[in-house]
Amino acid sequence: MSVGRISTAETYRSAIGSVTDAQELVNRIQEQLATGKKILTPADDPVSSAQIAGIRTDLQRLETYQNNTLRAEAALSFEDSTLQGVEDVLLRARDLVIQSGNSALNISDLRSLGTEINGLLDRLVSLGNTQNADGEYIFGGFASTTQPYELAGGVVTENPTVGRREINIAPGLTVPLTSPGASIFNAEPGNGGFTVFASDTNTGTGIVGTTRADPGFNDTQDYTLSFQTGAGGELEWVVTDSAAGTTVGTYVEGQAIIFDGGLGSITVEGSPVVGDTFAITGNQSAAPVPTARQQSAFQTLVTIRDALLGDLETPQDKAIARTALNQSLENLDQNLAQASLARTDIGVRLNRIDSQIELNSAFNVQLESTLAGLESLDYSEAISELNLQLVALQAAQQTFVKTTGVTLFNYL
Amino acid sequence: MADAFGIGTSALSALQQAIKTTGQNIANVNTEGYSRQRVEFVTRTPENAGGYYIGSGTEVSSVSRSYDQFLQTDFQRRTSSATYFSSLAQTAGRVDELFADEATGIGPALNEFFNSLEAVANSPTTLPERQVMISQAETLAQRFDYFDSRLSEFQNELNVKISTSASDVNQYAEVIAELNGQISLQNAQTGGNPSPDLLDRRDQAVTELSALIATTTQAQDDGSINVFIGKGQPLVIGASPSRLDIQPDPLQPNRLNIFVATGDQQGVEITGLMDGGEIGAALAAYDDVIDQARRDIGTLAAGLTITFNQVHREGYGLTSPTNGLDFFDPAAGKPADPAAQTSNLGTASITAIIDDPLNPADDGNIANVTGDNYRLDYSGGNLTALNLTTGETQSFAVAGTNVQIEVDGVTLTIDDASLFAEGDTYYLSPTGSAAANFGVNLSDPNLIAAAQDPNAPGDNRNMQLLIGLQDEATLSGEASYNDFYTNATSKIAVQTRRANSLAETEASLLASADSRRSNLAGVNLEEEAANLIRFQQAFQAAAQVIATARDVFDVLIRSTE
Repeated sequence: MSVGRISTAETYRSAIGSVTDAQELVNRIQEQLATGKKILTPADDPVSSAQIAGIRTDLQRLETYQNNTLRAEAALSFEDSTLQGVEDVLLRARDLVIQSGNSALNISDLRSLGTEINGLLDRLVSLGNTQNADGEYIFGGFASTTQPYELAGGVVTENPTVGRREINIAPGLTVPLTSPGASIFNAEPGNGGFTVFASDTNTGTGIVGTTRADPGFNDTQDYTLSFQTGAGGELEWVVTDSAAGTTVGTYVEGQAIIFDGGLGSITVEGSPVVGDTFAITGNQSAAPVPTARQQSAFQTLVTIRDALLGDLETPQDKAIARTALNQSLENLDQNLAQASLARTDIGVRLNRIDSQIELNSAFNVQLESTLAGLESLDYSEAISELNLQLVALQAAQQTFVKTTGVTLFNYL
Repeated sequence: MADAFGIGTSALSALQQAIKTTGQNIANVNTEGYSRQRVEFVTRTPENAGGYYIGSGTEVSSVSRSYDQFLQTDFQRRTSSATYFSSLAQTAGRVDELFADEATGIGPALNEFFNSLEAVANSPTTLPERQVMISQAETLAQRFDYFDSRLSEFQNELNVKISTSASDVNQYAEVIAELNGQISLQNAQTGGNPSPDLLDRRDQAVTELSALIATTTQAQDDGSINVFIGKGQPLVIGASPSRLDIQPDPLQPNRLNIFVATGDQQGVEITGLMDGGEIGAALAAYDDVIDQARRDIGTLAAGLTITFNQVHREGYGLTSPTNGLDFFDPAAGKPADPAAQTSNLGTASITAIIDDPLNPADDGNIANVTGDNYRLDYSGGNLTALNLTTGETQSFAVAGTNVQIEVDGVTLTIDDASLFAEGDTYYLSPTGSAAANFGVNLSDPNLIAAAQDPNAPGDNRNMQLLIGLQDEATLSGEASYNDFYTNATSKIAVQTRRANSLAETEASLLASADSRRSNLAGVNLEEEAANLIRFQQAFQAAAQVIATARDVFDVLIRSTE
């Protein structure tokens, strides 16, 4: 200001002005120090404030995702240990079925095996009805409050619903938290192509042993294996398909019966007689659209139990039961494979969760450090700034006192 | 010898005036708007002493004030703009703090609400999580409500500011007119030397008026000034003041309009012509701060309500075998029906919804809603929608009954276009009431529709869809809820920052204008002290002249004894 004269009011105003300006700065730094933030309101730095808001949202959501991952981890571990129980039950049942094939066993031995199977069935049903901490049936599907498996009068009623509950573990990334019962306990039956059932009315002692369905086997239809007397008086087997096409061959014990253009094979032991029939059920139900037949592990155990606890007195009865047990062994293998597939799946999910937890933590660290850079106050810088401003304030105050203290009137 | 006495006496009386004026200056060192005064001395008319003229002493020709019209005008103009920006910055700063506050902000509540959805998705069969979701939604509703009521308070404060400022303006107008009368009278009496004190008081009144509204003045030959406010509205002409009247806006009753009137005559609306000062700042804050914040918050409330309900209605609750329930109170998604201006002559009524009636499943409509307010004008079979923010217009031919038109995502239904009268005006605020209406519709946690299928309590698929909404760009500007809120916060932050920095700039410009003016016109005590000494010494010297004259006279008398 290159003005010759300065009004007295102006002298005071400018002196006071520098004091109040300095005070304002000191006050602002004090506020920053008190809050630890360099941005006090969005207007201080609109761009960083928008970034801070975005990061806070991300952090809040990340925390939720971390909670979700922990929750999923716990739920899946629980499911895994339940599935281990299922595998144990099925393995024990398999042992018992193999044991039952021992010809040295008498009826009461077989009966006691049947009783143990019955116990395993109880246990399997209770595993199927496992509930989580919220009281939900973990294999119940979406209708998770309805008991999926019911055992009454020795019969298992199965009504699990479908549906897997997905849970978010990262933006746009979900992991299934539950497995519907069918995906655990149901498998395709028999050898993967067909299952053989002996007729109750068979009077021979033919036992179906190993069976095989080669790739391409037509499983959308059912077949019947029956026996007849051939032209030379020899015993002949006949496989009739749904379209009444037949394949015929001479019966030789232990020799494979080949049908469906060589793709299906059944080995029969013992002595079937003319009039004995075996139903061969394809794995796809035919009409109107082929749908896969499913055999539940419960059904498999029921069949085994019923075979062991049913009629075993006559050789014919024994043969029928043996066929059922042989077929059940195949079913059991399928059920076991399904259960371990489910466990593998859970393992994969747990791995995904683990790696997501790491990713989330890493992202969290990154966000926190960005946030700190954007909004956190550099204390040492702020404190030295505060000292500087305090010196300025002091100087302004002293200047005020000094300049206003000198006046010509002192000398009048 | 008598001449020497005369000269001495003239000097004594002139110097007395000078000492008095110095005293006046010292006395008014702290008077706002006071201009230091100076005594102008002139020599008295010389006497003809025969062959020559001899001086006859001194006299005071005038007491003038140190004054520069340019500096004064500059100071007044700076006062007006500095007040404008500091007042605007103050209002914007308060809204900015409202947005920023972690405890009251909508952003954090929105995040917490969506986090509570995750808990429901994790445990859809249990009630506590659902209960938490409802209470988080209620917290969110409280935040919206708090925002709305705070914005209403700010608006009321602006109204109070406008009213009191207008009545202050009226007082200053009267003061200036009164002073104009006195000054022009003195001007006539003294031949152009009205009292500097009155001139100062009038300047001070104009300065204080400038703090309320932009003010310009025009000096008249008779010494009076004409005062114009805003963009040139006459307020004082000579000795006759006009007055400002305040009336509620007929379209937006929570706003005030300003009228200028003289005497008993009907006022003329000049709201749009007001500028600068407290009044200009309050009017600007209506649109740029309060309304913008209200529109943004309202659009968020309406958008959240509409889009969330849309998904929620598809799902099933724990116990309910039917779907179709709204989670949020649908009232927030329904715009207030356009209000007819009281002066309308026609009787047509218009209803508004944010939905596409032809395609109710289409949720794209809320994305078209700008949140801006509209004025609807009927003329010659056309209804024209004027966007009050952008100034854009859209025109629709309307005829017959149940006419439907769509204005930026809002569907308007006119019951009967034949009931319109020429010049009818309506006001449409699509989302202005949404924040106040935002609320939770469900109170029974069982009814929260987490499932996509009925009777499937473990089904969380609908909840997952609801969670997914927070990442969807459902609102206008392709923004998600959170982005939209962040943008709104940024907008107000940028505005506050701009107003703050302009306020700082203007404050320093005002300070320098003030110091320039003050350095010229203000009192400097040192200077006055020096003058005091100067005049005192001159006074002593003049007294000495009289003493000497007396001595000379005495010698003369004695010599004749």
